[in-house]
Amino acid sequence: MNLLRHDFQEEIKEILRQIKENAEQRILYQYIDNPPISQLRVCLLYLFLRQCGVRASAIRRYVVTAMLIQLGLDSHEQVSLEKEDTPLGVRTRQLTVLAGAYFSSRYYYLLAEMEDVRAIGQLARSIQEINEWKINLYWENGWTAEQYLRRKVDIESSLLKSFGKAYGGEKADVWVNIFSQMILVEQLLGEYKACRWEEGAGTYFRLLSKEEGTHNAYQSMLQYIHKALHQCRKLSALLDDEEGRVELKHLIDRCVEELDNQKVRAEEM
Amino acid sequence: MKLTDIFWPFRSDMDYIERELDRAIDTKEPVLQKTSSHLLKAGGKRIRPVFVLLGGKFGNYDIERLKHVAVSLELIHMASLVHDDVIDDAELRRGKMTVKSKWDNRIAMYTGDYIFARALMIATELSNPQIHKILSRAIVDLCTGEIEQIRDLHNWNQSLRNYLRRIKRKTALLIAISCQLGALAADATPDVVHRLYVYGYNVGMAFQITDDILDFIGDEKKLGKPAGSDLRQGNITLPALYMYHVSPDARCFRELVKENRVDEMIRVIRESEGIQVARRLAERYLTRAAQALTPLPDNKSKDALLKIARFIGERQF
Repeated sequence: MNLLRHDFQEEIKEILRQIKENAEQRILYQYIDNPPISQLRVCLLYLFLRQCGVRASAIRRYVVTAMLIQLGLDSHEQVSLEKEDTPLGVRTRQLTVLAGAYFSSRYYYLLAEMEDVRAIGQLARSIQEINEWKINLYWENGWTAEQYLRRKVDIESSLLKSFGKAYGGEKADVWVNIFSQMILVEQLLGEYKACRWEEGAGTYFRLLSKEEGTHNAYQSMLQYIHKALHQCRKLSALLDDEEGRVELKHLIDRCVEELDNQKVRAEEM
Repeated sequence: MKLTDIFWPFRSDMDYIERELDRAIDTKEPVLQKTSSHLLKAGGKRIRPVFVLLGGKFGNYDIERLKHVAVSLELIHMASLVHDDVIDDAELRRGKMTVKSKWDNRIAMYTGDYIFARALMIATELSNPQIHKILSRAIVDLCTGEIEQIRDLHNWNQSLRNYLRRIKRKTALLIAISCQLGALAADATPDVVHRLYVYGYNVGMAFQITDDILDFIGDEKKLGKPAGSDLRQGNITLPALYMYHVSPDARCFRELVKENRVDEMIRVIRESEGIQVARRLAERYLTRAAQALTPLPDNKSKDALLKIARFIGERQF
């Protein structure tokens, strides 16, 4: 295996380990499952910060804190809307709220220990923005599928983009676009998987089905994913650093693989 | 004595803080504007900002610096209340509908997260890393304290030490650092900063113990919630712990616990020595709070801090 690839993978493993370590609270595990950590986002942010020449210890801290915020926000998405009347249901709701708060508090703690007040503010601004968008998306009606998806991508890419704008320099726009497109792919893959395998298709798919019919919605979604992947490849070619281009290509290839696996499973069924 | 009387000399600066709080949660998103100002409009004692300003009086008092600490601490407290109401499935707070009951849990979560983010953005107007280290550690401890409270629900075998550590994290710490950070932001000497922390910690402990007492014996209308609501939710506080472990009637009480006869448990606790024991402990903390201030110069601010401590000991809601 290429030595640089190996180093990259070892770094990602270490970052994931640190995220889990910082998210650890024994009682939480007894009642709730933590939301999954997006390895795609970990890799993207890591790649970007390394490209910008940020020192290794800082890269780890930034990626870990960004993912802790994401874990916090995603935990709060899981808080039940239903009135819980079983002891387990009540306890789960309570701990889901507290888990999110705990993960978010760890982000502040880690950056404060690094004395990185600027990054604290940068990420807080992003959290502010995310919640403004979330409430708007959740409460307002009448979204088209496209509008909904665009807003979801804004929400899900905000944390990464905040780093892009802070550190990207001349290449900030390229990286902001890369983040947008890769998160778009991630969202679409998630929607595609949900509409095929899980009860309750995602909101985007439901909106698209209303506009185009179910069959056309599948086709449109697939085309959209391919278009987004193609756009990602074009953007990655704009990067100066060869290692960055190679690793980004690997990430894009993994997304293609994931899509192909989903299609194969659909055919088998 | 009312808190408003003690706060009177600071009313101008507190009015300014109130306006800054309003400004802090300002957003173009109309639903979020309503939800985040919902709790603000319901009022509150604003005791943490007052402690910040009082702490600041022992250094170079500059409201333009102190406001960042005062506002962010109050916002952190507000964010935790919005989320607490989801945790407790509470319909009312301060006599008004909670955010979660007026809208729903999802909106309440987004609102709390938004307010917390705003708090941090305002705090980062101050670049002193020490302030952020103190504040961030306190927030982690606050969260840990809340998680431990859930862990200890219905846990009658918890120790007094457990209880005290929990209330330290849940309540006392934020009050302690309110005083401490006010002094730090005003460049007070390290000794003064530390003394104010100790004062705030002890006052905070007394505040929570008094809260726990009032939950049993307080007037429902003044409290804004039914009596014994902590116990009904499984939150075992000091008067209840005393009854279970130490009281001469502990054996009978344990039978009530076994049979889950909550109304009787509340009645027994209300009439028990547990209330007096808790009161005496609160008094001890208040004495330590006052002692922490002794070496500080005698001035209006010190006087106000001592009056607040007395108020906490005497309060009925």
